Amino acid sequence: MYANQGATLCYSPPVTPETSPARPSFRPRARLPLTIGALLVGAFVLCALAAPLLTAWLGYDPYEQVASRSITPPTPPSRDNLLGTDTLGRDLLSRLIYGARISLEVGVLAELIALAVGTFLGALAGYAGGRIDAFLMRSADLVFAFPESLLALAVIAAVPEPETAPLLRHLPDPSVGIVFLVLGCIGWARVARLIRAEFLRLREQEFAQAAQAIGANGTRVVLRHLLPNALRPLMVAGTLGVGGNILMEAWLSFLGVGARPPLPSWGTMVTEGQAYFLAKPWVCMAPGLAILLVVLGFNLLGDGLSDLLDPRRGRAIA
Amino acid sequence: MLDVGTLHPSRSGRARGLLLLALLAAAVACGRSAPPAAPSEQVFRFRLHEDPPTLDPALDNDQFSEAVILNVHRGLVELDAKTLEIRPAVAESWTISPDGLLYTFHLRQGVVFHNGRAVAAPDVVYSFERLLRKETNSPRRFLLEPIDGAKEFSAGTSPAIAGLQSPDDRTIVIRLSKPFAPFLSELTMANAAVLPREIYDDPGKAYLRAPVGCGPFQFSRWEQANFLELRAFDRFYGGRPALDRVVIRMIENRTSALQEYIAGGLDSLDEPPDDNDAAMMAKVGSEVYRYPFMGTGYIGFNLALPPFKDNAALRKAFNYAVDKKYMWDVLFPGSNIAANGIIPPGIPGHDPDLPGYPHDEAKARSLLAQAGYPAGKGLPPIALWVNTSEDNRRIAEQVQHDLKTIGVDITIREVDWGAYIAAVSGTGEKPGQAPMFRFGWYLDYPDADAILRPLLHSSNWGPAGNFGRYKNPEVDRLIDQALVVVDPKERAGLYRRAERIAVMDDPPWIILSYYQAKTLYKPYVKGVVLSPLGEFRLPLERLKIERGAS
Repeated sequence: MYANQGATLCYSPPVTPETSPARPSFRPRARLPLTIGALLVGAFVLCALAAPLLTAWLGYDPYEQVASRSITPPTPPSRDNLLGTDTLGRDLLSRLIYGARISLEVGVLAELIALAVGTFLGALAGYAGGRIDAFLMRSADLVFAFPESLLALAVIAAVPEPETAPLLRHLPDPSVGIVFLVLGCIGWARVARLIRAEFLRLREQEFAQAAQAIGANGTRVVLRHLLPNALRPLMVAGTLGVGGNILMEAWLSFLGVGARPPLPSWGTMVTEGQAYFLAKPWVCMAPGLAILLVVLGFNLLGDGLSDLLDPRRGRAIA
Repeated sequence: MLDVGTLHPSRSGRARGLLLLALLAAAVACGRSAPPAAPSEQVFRFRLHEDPPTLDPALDNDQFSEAVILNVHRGLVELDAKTLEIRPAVAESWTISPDGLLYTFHLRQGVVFHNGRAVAAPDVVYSFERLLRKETNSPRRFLLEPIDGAKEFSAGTSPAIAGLQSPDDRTIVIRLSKPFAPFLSELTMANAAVLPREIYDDPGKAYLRAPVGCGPFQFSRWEQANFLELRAFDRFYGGRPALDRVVIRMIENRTSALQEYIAGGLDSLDEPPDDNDAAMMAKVGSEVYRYPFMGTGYIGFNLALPPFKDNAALRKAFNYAVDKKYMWDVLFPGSNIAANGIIPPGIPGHDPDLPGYPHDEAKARSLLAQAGYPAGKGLPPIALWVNTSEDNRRIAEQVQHDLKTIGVDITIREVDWGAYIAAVSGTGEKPGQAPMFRFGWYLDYPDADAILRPLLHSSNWGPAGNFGRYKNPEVDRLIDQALVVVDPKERAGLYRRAERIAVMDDPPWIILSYYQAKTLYKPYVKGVVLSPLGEFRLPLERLKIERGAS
């Protein structure tokens, strides 16, 4: 019985003065970014998931040197190699497609770690308050005190040989593993702050107080009442976070500390191609453009979702 | 001597060319250019990648320092950068006793230090003692160790070097403890320069910032990380150089340096654009000089650790697996030459008939099985270390790819030069940690001893050059024997035998390349010497600027 009550309560939109519509109408045009974002992200995810099929269909192994053994690579785009070959004569397009897998792997896994850790700690801080809150939030401040990129760089550089490191070496690609682990472990602070702020607001509201009043224990209030109400900002943060992680992975690989050769990380591919920037621009433009589009896609999707899901922006209140 | 790069000795690996950064660097480089030339003045401007690590001849152990020191200083004898003959310098003549033990040098009249004082025999004694003294802490003390009593003097057990005498102001007599054929060659090196005591005894070490020698150019000024200026020395014993001034500019980024050369801020550049950069080559291609350069590039094995320890079959398998011809003819055209051995062409002892390890996948596979790792099964994780640079990464990735074809998985580890050299060389006692590492060595003087002894003799384990801790008693014996043999033909034969054993029976490395140098010179620079000793061994006193025609 309580369960029903709780569920009913928790799915009803919070009704407080601050949630009254700020804008009276929803403009359909605002959906355009969302659509573009969804398309870009969809194409990217499809590429990543179907990479082996796609490259098999193209007929190339991303690690095989396919350019003629007598011509200095990179070779220009041709009918055989639609985007040409890279600096070692490997098919650029199939490497690009496989690169999507690395990006997706890092982007999503790092974000899942960040969401899991961040939600747990943020919920704890927001609900428990007091010293626990103070301790957790000061820890988050500590993480924020360092630029994320430099912190990631420092931590990853401290594990110079992931291939022989404990735990990591059991992963299929240890050098990718350390990147998503580190990015995930840094990302928690961002998520935790968000969740805590949501919880501070939600726990003072009638439905939460009612649940407590009728005797629901802390875990139940958090899991059944508060958390589901914080899902919207979490989804938006998660989507934007994936894009951020992909960019960060590319940046780390560009600097040579991310995915190790011969893995076709987009960041690595940009590094390899930059020496040919003027003479053979496609070698670094192709992966560069891929990074741009995917990150753009996630940002548009995230922004679009936030518009769509934010009750203050109108439409949602039914 | 350590070569810090791969295709050309290059320290610029760290400078990654984010376009924006490159432009920024170019802008900065332009903004701080050295003082302009008066129209009639002869000025030559060339580039070093960074400040020379030292201007003290005793401490020199790298090519950037040498580029300055060899033009400011002179020793008893010098190496002709072109013909590689040993020529008189501060000494105008010398004799060697038939047993190869006694060297008598007669000093030239009228050699003057830049501070105006005449050079005399006690200066030579002082300079040699300084190099050997423990407090000087020279990495090249070994150059003078063949002199009788030198080791005792270094150790502090003797107040003077027994085998070094100056009977009068114009004569130096050196007695060796045993015959040592390359001794005269060693005296041509920058470390053996003749120095004025009154400057170099300074406890405040002002000479580090303002060196004084007796070479063709005198030090003028040095703005660190920007430029270093030399001026012609009017009283140089060989006649005043044609150039009035030399400006050495420190530009780390390769792209900015190239832009600066094109803009006219440099008269010479050690890193021309890639051959396949058609746009750039169209601009400066005609100004590229190519010439062989005495050096060998390789990928060393750490022989102190498994799996390479005591497993020659495995090392041979790796050698056959790597396609060096593809690497140098196709991937890096116009740079280095695929090598079949250790002693580079042009050096007595080079063996053009050495079979080496041409690419042969089948042989590689069967040797791999013979080594106990059929199709790579059972091999521990192997990391190939390289110092950070785009070229190095590409070489490493090609090696990784080729080894993968026979079933061997290796990982690539990129590290900055400082950390790299420490991890790779280890110490005298402790082996380095890198299982495989990319390296190169260029010869300090044209003698097979200058590469075989530092890299393969077991007495040079660790930072002295034998990083992989190679030890082959027969190779050791032949190298030692060649040192005391005076007949050049016989010596070359001994080196050839040592090389053949090392390469074919017990390979210490994956042998990659013989070096070739590429340098840009503006057409108005005349008297350019393309030295097999490398682009930084440019005898500046032979240069002239003839702008009229261009």
